[in-house]
Amino acid sequence: MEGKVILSSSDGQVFEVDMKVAMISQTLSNMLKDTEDTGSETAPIKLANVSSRIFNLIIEYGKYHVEAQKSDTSEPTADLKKRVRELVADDKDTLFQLMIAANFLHIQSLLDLSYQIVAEDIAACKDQQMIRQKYNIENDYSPEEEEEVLKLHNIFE
Amino acid sequence: MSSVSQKQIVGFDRSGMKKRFGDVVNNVDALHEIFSHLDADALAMASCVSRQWYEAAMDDNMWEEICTKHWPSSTGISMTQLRYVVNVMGGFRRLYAKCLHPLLRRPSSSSSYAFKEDGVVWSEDQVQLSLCLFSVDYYKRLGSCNTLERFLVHSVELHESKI
Repeated sequence: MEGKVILSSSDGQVFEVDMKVAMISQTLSNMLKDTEDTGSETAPIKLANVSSRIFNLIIEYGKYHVEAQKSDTSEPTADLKKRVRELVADDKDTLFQLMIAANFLHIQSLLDLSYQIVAEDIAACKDQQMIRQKYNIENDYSPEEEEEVLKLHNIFE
Repeated sequence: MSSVSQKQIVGFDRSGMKKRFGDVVNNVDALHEIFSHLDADALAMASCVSRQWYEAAMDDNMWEEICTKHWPSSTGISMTQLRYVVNVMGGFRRLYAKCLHPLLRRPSSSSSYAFKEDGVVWSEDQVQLSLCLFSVDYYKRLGSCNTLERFLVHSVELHESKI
């Protein structure tokens, strides 16, 4: 499919997006195919769950993704992952919002890369306390229980 | 353009993710996806974070993945058979902790947690030895008087299943 598709974000900003870029979203792709089948006029699609800030990032990712498919880079995944890291600029809340949007729009590749990025960030923490701080997770273990799970952990040391 | 009715896409629950996904790190499905990319050390560390993380990180499927990911394709052991035996003897997490980890200890210089490395393949001997150690561990825990005899029978069975 060629051409542009008009989308609007939750806060009302209107985006004109390349059809190729929009098609990386399974949700949009299904919708656009339906529209094509019925031959009806392409109406602007409102993305009720995606803010303009996040949608901008999604479009950027979409462009990279389309580019990566065309060119034959040796490490397409690693390269794309680096791009996503740059897009979210090491801000975990942005990353999480991007994940919500990717989930909503069914962009599996973006979701997979995001999971990998979170995993890398977790693995980079030096202990469980650092993970809790980074992700605001409450320690709901009693002191005794924590000792117990740490003992389990320590069989790896 | 305003005359054209707008289409709306609302709600997202098709892939089983909760609406309050905003807390990615408190969502069971998301945790499973994330944890599947962790290596054993990082996964063990994750299990100490909270009860929910513990639940997710103790999922034995995750440990099965870790145990078998680096096995050579030619162990000759059927996965169904192996899964059965390992589950009876305490699960893949235990297999890893008791028998694979000691064999694969990293040099002490690199103490940091590593992201799961791809492409490393263990030797068949390492796999065999770890499985034997695992049966020893199991029979030790059983503490029966016929321990040695049972162990030998089991080792032979394991060996035969390999052929």
